[in-house]
Amino acid sequence: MSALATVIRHENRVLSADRASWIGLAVFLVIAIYAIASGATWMQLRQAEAATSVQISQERSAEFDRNLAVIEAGRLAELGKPNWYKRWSGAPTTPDSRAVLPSRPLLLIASNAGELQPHLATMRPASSRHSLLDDLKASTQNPVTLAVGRLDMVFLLTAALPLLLLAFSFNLLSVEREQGTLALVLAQPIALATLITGKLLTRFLRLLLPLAIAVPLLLALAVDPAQLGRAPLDYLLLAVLILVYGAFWLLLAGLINALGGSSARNALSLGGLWLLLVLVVPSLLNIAAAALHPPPDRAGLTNELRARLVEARNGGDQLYQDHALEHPDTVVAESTDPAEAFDSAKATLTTWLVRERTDALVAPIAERFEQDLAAQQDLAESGRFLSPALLFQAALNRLAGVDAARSRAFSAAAKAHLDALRAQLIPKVLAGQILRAGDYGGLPRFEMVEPSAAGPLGLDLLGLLLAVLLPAVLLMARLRSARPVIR
Amino acid sequence: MTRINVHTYDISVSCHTFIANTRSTEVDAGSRCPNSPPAAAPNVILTIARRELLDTWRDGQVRVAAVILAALLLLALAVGIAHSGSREAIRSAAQAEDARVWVSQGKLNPHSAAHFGRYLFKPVGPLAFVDEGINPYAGSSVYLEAHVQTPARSRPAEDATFLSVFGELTAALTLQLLIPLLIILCAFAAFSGERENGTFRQLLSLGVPRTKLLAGKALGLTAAIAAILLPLLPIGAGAVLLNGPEGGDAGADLLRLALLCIGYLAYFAAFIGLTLSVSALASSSRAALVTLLGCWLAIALLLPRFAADAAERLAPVPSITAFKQAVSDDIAKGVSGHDASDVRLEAVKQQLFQKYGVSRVEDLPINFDGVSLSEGERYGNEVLDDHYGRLWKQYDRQAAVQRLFALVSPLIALRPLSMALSGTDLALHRAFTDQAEAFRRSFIAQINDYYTANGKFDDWRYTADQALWKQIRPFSYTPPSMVATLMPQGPNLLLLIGWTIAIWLFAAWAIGRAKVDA
Repeated sequence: MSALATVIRHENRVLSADRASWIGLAVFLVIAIYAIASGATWMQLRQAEAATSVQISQERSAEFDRNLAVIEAGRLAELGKPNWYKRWSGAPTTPDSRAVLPSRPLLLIASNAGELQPHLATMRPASSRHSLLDDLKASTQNPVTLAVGRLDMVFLLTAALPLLLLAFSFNLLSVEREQGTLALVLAQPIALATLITGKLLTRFLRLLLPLAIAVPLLLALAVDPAQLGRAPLDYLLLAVLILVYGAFWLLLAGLINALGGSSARNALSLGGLWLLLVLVVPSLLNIAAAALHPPPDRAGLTNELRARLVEARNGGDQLYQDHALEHPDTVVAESTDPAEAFDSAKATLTTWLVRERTDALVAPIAERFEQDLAAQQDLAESGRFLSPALLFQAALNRLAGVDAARSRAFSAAAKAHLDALRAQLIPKVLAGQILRAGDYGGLPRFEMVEPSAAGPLGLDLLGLLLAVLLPAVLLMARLRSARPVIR
Repeated sequence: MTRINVHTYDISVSCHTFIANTRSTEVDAGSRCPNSPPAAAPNVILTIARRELLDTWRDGQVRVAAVILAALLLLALAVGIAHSGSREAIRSAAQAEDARVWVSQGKLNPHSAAHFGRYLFKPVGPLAFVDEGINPYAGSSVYLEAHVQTPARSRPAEDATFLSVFGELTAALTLQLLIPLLIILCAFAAFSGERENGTFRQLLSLGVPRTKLLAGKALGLTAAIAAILLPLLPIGAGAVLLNGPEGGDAGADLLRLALLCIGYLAYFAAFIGLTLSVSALASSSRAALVTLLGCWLAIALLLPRFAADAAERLAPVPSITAFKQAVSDDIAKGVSGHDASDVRLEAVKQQLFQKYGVSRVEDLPINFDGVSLSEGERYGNEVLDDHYGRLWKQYDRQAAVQRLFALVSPLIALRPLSMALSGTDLALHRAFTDQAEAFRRSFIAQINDYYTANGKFDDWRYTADQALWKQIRPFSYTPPSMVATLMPQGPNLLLLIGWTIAIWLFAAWAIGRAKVDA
C-alpha cells in the first residue's frame, strides 16, 4: 500500500510539472464551457418555441371563445368577419391543441440529436393520426450546421474526452522505458502492477474525477434552478457515466502500455482503437442496420396518406349517406347557406367521416412504417453493446431525453391526446352541434406520459462496467503472465 | 520506434554521389552520377521518394491501416452508390405518384384543391454517393399549398438511428477525416525518425539539399496515398456514368468528379506539408505524433464544429414556430402594421367597383372570392419574399462566419467545396426550394384565376373537376449550372490553395530550421 502511495505521490508531481498536458486540460474545459453555454442557449430557444406555440394556440382558443360569445349575443356584425366565420368558429373540427415534449434538465447536452427530435405537434380533431408530428417537422435551422455538427457535450464527452485522457496516458510506461527510468523504478521493491495501478489511479483522481464533478456542476449552473430539482439524480448518473467511460479509456491505455511498445507505437495503437470504437464500429453498425432494416420510405408514406385521403374524399358523399342510414336517429341538418359549404354541420361531419376512413385505410401502412423504423432503432439499440462509445452516447441521449424510446412515447402521448380531443368534440360533430362560448377553454390539455428510462439506462451502465472489466482483466492477466519489457 | 529502424543508408562517398537505398533493394544504377555534384543529381528526389514509399509499405502498422482504410473507403463508396441510387428511384416514383394523386381528385372547390396542394421531392444530387452533404439534414420534400411557403420537411436524419456521432460513413467523411490520419501515421517520423537514427546527419553530410529531401519525402508520401486512392477513381467514374440520374449530364458530372479530386488533392497536400513540417521541427517522433494528432483533432473535429456552432450564435435564425407566426402576422396585419388584410382588400374592391361601375360585390362580373384569394397571395408572396430573404441572408452570414474559420482549418474550406461539387450543398437546396416556390405561386395563381373567372361570390359550394387539375403545368427542375455552382465556391477554393501554399512555405522554412541531431 505504501508503495502505491509513493507511486501516486510521485506521479502526481510528474503530472503537475507537465505543462503541455495541463494546457490540454484547460483547452478541454474552455471548450466544454462553450459547449454548455451554447447548448443552454439552444435549449432556451427550444423551450421558448414550445411556449410560443402553446401561447399561440391558447390565444387562438381564447379569441374563439370571446367571438363565440359575441356571436351568441347576436352581434356578429361587430366582429367585421366574413360570412363563413360564424360556422367556422363554431365547427367542432376547428379547435386546435398543441402537444409539447417537456425538456429534461440535461437536454442542453444533446443539441444535435435534440434538433432532429420532434418536440411539438399541432392537432385538430380531424388531423391525420398518422402524420401528427409531421406538422412542425419543417425546420428553419440551417442544415449545414447540423451536417457539420454542433459542438455539443454529447460529442465532446463521447469523442473528445477519450482523446484527452489518452493524451495523458498513452506513454504511461513507455516514456519511463525510453528515459531509462523504468529499470530503476522496478529495481525498487515496487511491482509493475503497483506502478501501473498507481499511475492510472493518479490520472483517475487528478484528471477524470475533477472532470466528472465539474461537468455536471457546470451543466447544473447553466439551467434554470427551477428545472434542476426535477431530476437531481440525472446529474449524479452523468458523473458516474463519465467516470466509468473515462476509466475504460485509462485502462485501455494501461493495457496497451503493458504490451511493451514504444510511446509512438502506443499512441498509434490507442488512436487506432479510439477511431475503431468511436467512428468505425458505429458507422459499420449504422450500415448494417440500414441494410437489415432499410429506412422506411417517408415519401411513399406521404403519398399513401394523400392518395387515401383523395380516395376517401371522392367517396365523401357516399360516406355521409351511409352514416345517415346507419344513424337515422341523429339527422344532421344540411345548410342552405352557400357560404357554409366547408363548415356546415353536414360538411363538418363529412370531413370527419373522410378522416376516419382515410386513417383506417392508411393505418396498416403507417403501422408498418413505424414498425420498420422501430426495428431499425431497436437494432441500433442492441448494437450499442459493441462499443463503449455507443453505450455512453446512448446513455447520454437518455439523460438528455432525446432517445428513440422517448420520442416514440411522445408520439404515443400525442395520439392519446388526439383521442381525448376527439372524445370531447367528435360526438358534437356526429350530432350536428356547434360549439358554444367557453367550449374552447374546456378542451383537454396535453400531458406527456414519460417512459421509464431506468431499465435501458441500467443496461447502458452495466454494459459500460463490463467494457471496463475487459481491459482491466486483460491488463491483470498480462501483468501476471508476462515479464515487463524494460528496454 | 518500429517505424524508424526500418532503413539504413548505403553510402558511397568516394564517387561524390549518394545512393540512398534500403537493405533489400538493389542499388539503382540510374541514380549514380559519378562526376556531377549531388545537388544537380536529377534523381535525388526520386530516389528519396522511392525509398520513402518502400519504407511506408514495409511498416506493418501502416500496411494494416492502409488496407483497412481502403476497405472502408470502398465500402463507403459502395453503400453511397447503392443509397443514392435507391433514393433517387424512390424520389422519382414519389414524384410521379404525386402527379397521379393530384389529378385523381374528384369534384372539389378549387380552393380546397389549392389547400390539398402538391408535394415536390428533392433530387439527391449527381455525386451524392461521394458526399451526402446536407442531404440527411435538409428537408427532402416541399409541401406546396395556398397562402404560405413552408420550408422543406422530412429530414432523412430524423428517421435514422442514433448510431454515429459523425454522421453516416461516406467517401467524403473517409477522405476528410481518415486520409489525413493515414498521412500522419505514415510520415510523423519522416524527419524526426531520421534524426533519432542519426541518418539525418549522414544524408546532409552527403550534400543532399534539405529542400530536395523534403520534396522526395513528399513525393514518396503522395505516391503512397495515391496507391490507395487511384484504384477507387474508376469506381467513382463508373458510378457517374452508369448510375447517374435520368436526363443527367454525365460529362458535367465527370468534370465535377475531376474538380473534386483536385480539391481533395490540395487538402491532402496541405496535410502532407503539415506532417513533414512538424516532423522536421519536433524534438522527438513522439512529440511529432502527439502534436500532429492534436492538429488533426483541432482541424478535422473541433474547429469545424466550433465554426458551425459559432456561426449559428452570431447569425441566429428564428424557430419554425416563430417564423410561421411572424409570416402570418405580417400577412394578416400588414407588414407596416397599418395595412391589415381587410384594409388592403377594401382598396382592391373599390378599384373593381370603379372599373366595372358597380357598387356591390355580387354585381361584379367576376367572382370576388377569387380576387380576394389572389390579393391574399400577392401580398403574402411579398411577405414571404421578405421573411425568406432574411432567412437566407442569415444562412449566408453563417457561411461567411464559417469561412472565416477556414483560416484555421483547411477542412472548413474543403467541406463546402466538396458539397457544392457533389450537388448536395445549401445552394442546390435553395435552387430547388426556390423553383418549388415559383411553381407553387404559378399553380395557385392558375387556380385562383380560374376561380375568379368561374364560381360566384360567397358561394363556396362551387366545384371544379379533373379538367382543371389536368391544366396545372407540371413542375420541372433545372439544376444550377456548373458556373453557378462554382462561382460561390471561389473563396473556399482560394482559401484551400492558400492553405496548401502557406503550409508548404512553412515546410520549406521548417526543413531549413530542422535540427540535425536528436
